[in-house]
Amino acid sequence: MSSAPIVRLQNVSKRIGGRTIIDRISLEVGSGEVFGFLGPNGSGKTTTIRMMVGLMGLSDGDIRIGGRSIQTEFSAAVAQVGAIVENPEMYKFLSGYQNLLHFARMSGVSRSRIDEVVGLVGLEGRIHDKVKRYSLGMRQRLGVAQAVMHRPKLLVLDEPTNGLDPAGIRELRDYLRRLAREEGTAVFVSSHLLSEMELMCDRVAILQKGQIIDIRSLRADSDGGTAAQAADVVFDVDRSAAALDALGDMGAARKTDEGLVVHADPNTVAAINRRLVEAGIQVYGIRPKTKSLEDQFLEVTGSESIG
Amino acid sequence: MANFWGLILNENMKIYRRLRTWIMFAFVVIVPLAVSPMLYYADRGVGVFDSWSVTVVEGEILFLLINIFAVVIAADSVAGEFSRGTIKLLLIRPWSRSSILLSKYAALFLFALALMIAAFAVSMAINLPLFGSIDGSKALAYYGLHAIALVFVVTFAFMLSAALRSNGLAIGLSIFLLMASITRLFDALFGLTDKAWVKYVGFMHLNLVNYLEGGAGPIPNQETTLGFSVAVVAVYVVVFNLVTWTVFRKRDVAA
Repeated sequence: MSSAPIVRLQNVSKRIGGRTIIDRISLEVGSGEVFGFLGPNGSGKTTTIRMMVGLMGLSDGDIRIGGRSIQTEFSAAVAQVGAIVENPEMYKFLSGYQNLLHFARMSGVSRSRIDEVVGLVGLEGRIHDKVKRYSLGMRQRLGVAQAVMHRPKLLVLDEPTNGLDPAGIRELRDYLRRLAREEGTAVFVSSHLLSEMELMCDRVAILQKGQIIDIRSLRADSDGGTAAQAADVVFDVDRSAAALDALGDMGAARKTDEGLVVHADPNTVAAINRRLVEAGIQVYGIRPKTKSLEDQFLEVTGSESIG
Repeated sequence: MANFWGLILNENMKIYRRLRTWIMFAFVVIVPLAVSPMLYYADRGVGVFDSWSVTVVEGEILFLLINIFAVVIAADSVAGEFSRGTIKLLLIRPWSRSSILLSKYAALFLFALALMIAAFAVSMAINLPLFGSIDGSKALAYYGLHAIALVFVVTFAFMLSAALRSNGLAIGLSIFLLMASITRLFDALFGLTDKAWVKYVGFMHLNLVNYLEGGAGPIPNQETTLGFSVAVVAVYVVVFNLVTWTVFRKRDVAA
């Protein structure tokens, strides 16, 4: 992220009736980045997103989109935003095309661009049907079409995969990643589904009780992680007790539920493998031990009070 | 940047691309088409009806329908966006909330105007051949006086729609107001008092047709002028709008 951030939240707070819903949140999302906003239900994800798009006012702080404040330059700021809200709500009595036309008129989008996005989301065959006859997946595509047709710099999605089938989720995920990569769109996704965020996002912020308790990168290995670095590696072996004896203090081996875990660089891993084989132990597999986002999430939030 | 006319086109699309709207127009067209021939045959050889009296008989029915239909559309205008959830997509466009509200308000008046034009056109088209000529300016004045009350009722329904965000409540309360005015419920309440302030109650000024025949205004026991009635209605309309705009511009959308 060498360029200026697309969206910047500065000490954003929201108080409703004396209760602090959001407490001094600050974060930045850059061009081409898919940013996950993770937290249990009720942690303030949706409130934050509502503030980002101007549906709710801020009690404190500021949100800037492309340098424009959502509070003082609303139109200029929001013109750069596309949003997909939970269960894309559309005018069901209008056709898909009329729905797009409706939002196109508001953003000054040409009819040729409407046709283009209709093709992009693969709705050509059904676009003139009434939305009430659409399946949820088709409505989701229509939701994507209205969100991207004015080529926003920032795409905001609130729980976008609620109610989608696995194929729909996969499709949406691939599409978002492509949009970030090819058009440099900053994508801001909220979800409480950890595994999904893991597949989709470059970075995630973890929100709990209105505060960001951690922001971390999920693509650590791609940011200059070198091959020679030591890492946790799991060995699947037939007799782990014998294997531990054979290794001695090599690689600080320990037994876990997953198998034999060692902490070693690649050369040492090869040496450990040779030692085990020479000791007559069957090695069924060797794989890096990755921490799932769920593990990381539980690690930061602690096990208590996770929705 | 798109222009404001686009917003009105959007609101029109949401009104006219629905079957219910065309059912409303159908009723407005059917009333004169059904009532005039009935009166014509009943009146043959009697001769109490002329074009003017038939237009007024039909006008009373038509304006009751037009008020109800306009209230239904007005109540749905803002509250419907909330109940569908489309408000979230509507408000995240590069337009101020005031512009969006104004486009809705304007589309409502275009709709009410279209209903009145349809009613007037069909009335004239059937009454002139059946009952002969009419004083055109008097007929227009009759529609105009009804239109003033219509502005009041529509603005009231629009305010409730934006403030309460409940379609049903906005319709219900507005129709109650309309019925109370027609059945002279407020007259019964306030008419007893003879207090001077009663003439400043906006709801008392919804039967303005009284002025047409040189009457002393809609309030029993108190003489008012048309100018006064219009001024009272105008003040109320402004206040209703202030409430609508204030509530809609400030409030968080958490739906």
